[in-house]
Amino acid sequence: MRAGLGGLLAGLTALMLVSCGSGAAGPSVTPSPEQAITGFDPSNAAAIQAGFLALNQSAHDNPTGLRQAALKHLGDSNTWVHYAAVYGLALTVTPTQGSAEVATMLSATNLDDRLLAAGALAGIGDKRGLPVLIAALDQGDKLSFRDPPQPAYDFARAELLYFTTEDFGLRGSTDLASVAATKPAWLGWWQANQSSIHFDTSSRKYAT
Amino acid sequence: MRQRRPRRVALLSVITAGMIGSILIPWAAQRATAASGGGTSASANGDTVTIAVNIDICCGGTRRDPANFDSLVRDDVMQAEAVWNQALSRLPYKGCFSIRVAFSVHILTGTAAEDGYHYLYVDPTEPGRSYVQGPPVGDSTWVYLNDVGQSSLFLASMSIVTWEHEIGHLMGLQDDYQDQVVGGATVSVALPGRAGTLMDSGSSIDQNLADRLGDLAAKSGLKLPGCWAGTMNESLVVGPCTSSVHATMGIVVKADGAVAGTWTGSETAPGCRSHAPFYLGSFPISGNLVDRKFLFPSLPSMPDYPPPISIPLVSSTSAVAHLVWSAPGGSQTSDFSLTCMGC
Repeated sequence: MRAGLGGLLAGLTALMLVSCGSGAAGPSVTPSPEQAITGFDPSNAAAIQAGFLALNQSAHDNPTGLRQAALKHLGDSNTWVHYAAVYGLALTVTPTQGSAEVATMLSATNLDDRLLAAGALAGIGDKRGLPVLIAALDQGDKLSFRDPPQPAYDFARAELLYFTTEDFGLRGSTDLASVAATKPAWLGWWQANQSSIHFDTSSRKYAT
Repeated sequence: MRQRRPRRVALLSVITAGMIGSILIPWAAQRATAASGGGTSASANGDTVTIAVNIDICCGGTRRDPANFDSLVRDDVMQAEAVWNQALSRLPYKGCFSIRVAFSVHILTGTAAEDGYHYLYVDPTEPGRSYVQGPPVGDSTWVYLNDVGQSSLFLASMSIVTWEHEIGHLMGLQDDYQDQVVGGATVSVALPGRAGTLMDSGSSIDQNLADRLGDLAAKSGLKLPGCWAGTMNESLVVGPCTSSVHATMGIVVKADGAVAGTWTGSETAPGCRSHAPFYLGSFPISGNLVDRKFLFPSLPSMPDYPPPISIPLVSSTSAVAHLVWSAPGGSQTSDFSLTCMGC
């Protein structure tokens, strides 16, 4: 037996930062949540990988810090800093911390903002994310940076199947046309049950 | 939650080299110092190559896990395995070898991972970006030597195809797309010829992926028997009618000269045969490589060429036979050609 994935991030990130000239980190410095967001750089595959590594590790090790940094930079004019802030907030939002800010993004025109917000709320038991996911069932635009690249309908499909006990033919549908064909049934379900739908904390699913 | 141990320090430089660019530390130079014991391995049994991927999933039993977390993850991985195997069963490597995959999953309840297993952190609820760490450019056997610690999967937004894709990384396959920043937005662009395939953004597992898996297994040090692939084209002319058969052959030559493989024949022109030749369809063939000749007792023969059919080597990598039979009212020719793949 050996240790889990643990903390090679520290040295790794330090080297990353040094190599990118973005900080004076020594070999044992982990990027702060602030650095994880402001240093997010999509210029090449390695930088993208390192950027998500830093964000994910911050979300895991210091969710409060990342959430605070994310909230601070949510309105950043830099596209990538804003994206990192949205992503960081989506990974750290709680029912009492940051959910109001996330909810404001449910009507965003930016696809990443809208769907990351919907998925994040769905995951914390806030059903306001569900209609946004349902609305995306017929949308083929791709989210940014997903691996593999993921269109909106596929993201919504996965989230709805994961967080609800409903199907409406969605499980057997994988392409845009067939997934979109289930949308009316999902809309009907939401409209008929939106007041009674609740999050079951045991199953981690929404039920009516 | 996650533990840290000094052992990972060696691995750190390797991952870092891959992640932040080969400019600083050449990837190949680092591999020699890599920690041993990746979660990926390959083995061969006759003409079957098995690629095994051992996966530790961290961490079951947390407060946010759905009650069925364990079975959910296992079912997803097993479905991904089934899809890979179903596709690979139709995609022989070099025309000789059947590739199959075998995924093994352990759901960890603590943080300690096992030697010989890839360690994946699986988040049950957040909408994060799933990824597996590894060298940033090109397929690599790195996963045969190292685990992919620092990798994360986000269950709630994953489909089975996402599992298939991410486990593709665990088998050493690189992405077949690139993220590009265009006008302040990112677009994922498929590499030439790869659009719609699994390591791009699609679901198709094609011959290219099968061949790359086989190449990675071979590069990992797996010793494969000699593989010969080739064709047989037969033409039978009787009066005004011509019948034609095309067949492909993929055979493995063992160290003792025993030969075994698969014949797949199809009639390309039915001509005037009263009945289809017996050697249509796919069936196993066997024989020997003796005195620089392939000898196949069960292959289609002709009156002037009693079994076994003999296909002599014309070089160390090629064997050819041109068989002609003529009789009043008709003639038949059969051309055999075999090439050693990777010799």
